[in-house]
Amino acid sequence: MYINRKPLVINDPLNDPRFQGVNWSGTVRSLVSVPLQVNSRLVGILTLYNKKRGVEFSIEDQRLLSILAGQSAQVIETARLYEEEKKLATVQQELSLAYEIQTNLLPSKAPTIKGFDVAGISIPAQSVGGDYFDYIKIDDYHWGMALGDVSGKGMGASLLMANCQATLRGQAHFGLSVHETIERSNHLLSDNIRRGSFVTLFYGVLDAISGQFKFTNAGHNKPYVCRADGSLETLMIGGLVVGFIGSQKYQEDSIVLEPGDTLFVFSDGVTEAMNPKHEQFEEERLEELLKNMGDVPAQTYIDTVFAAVKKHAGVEPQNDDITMLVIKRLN
Amino acid sequence: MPFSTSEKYHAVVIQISGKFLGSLEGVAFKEKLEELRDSGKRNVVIDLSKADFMDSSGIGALIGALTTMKKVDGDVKLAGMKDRIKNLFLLTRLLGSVFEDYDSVEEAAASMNV
Repeated sequence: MYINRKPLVINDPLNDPRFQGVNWSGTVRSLVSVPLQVNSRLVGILTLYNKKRGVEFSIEDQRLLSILAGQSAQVIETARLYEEEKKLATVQQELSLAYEIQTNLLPSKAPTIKGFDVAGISIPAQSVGGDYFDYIKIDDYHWGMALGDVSGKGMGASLLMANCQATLRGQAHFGLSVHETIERSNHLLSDNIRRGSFVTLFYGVLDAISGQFKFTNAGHNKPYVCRADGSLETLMIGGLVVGFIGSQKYQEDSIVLEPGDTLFVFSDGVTEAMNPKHEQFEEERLEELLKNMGDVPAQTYIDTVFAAVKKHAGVEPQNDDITMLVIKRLN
Repeated sequence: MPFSTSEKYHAVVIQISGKFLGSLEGVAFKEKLEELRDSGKRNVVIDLSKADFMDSSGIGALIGALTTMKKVDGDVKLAGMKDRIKNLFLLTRLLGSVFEDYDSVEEAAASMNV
């Protein structure tokens, strides 16, 4: 039946030459069997056994059952589609819940730090993303600033992102140096991250009195320091991506943000945004924008870069999460 | 599928062409490596000379390949990286500390021929 998909009548199973190898139960005297099909796909088989009063099943019975089977298959298919739709709705509900949870994990507004103007944004490519940024208040004058990008996208990446954020927040409060904070976070995360996943992470601590910014760059795109005179510097010192080798040591470096200087941290969703010709936005375009930004608020950096990335991408959909974090020292 | 395999010296060469996105090719790539491992192969060279683009989960797939082979005392080496992909590996600090790269497949394969 599975192969032939044709109705079948057997009225003398034991002596039917077509089924000699079958170990028939003694209670089967006769049967009529028809396939249940939807769009040529077999979804089941409908079989009646042992016609009453010992009469044989007729071709008429087979035809009647075939008609019933046609209608039943449609009903079964409709019920199956309905169940699938219900399941899909549940998944979508879960996804929007995950989106809500993730949105709440990201800072809803920038902190107010005397002498500084701070802004950040993360725009996932899918419902949930693997990028994140964070402001961590260590004490009244010290702020941890983080921006990370978990490899991959979607739900898996977002779960790892939540883990990464929680781990770093936990470690940031110990008052350790920046590189130790990352080393301990990396050690913890390496135990939890499955093979092949990792996080590129930029983390630094701002001293809001002196403007000193100590940082470590764990395999992340090099952030820019946009000096007040329009020159750019990149922040590279750090080490390997996080979550891969638990015993990894990290280096740290420091810069001083002078009045008018701006730190611009971003994820690769900015520089790797593609246009329909598959040309990336690239560092060069970003550098050009940053050099010519002028004395504008932190939020304007984000708005300007995002608008330029959008313009570059044109009709091409956003391929990766886009995240930016800007810290400007006010004049 | 944007990758194909061949053998050179004592290494299996996996050539990756065009875009290598972990989200699209990751599973097939992982299965390929496991298949190679199960058939007794230990040394793998990833030929990236025809690869134009790789995303972070593509790198993740290569890390997965490396750990798969390291676990059975094998190794994975990279060859012929174009600048764009090399920058990605330099940025993530995976080059040198984790992966070794060679200019050509021959050099990479020969380095395993000990």
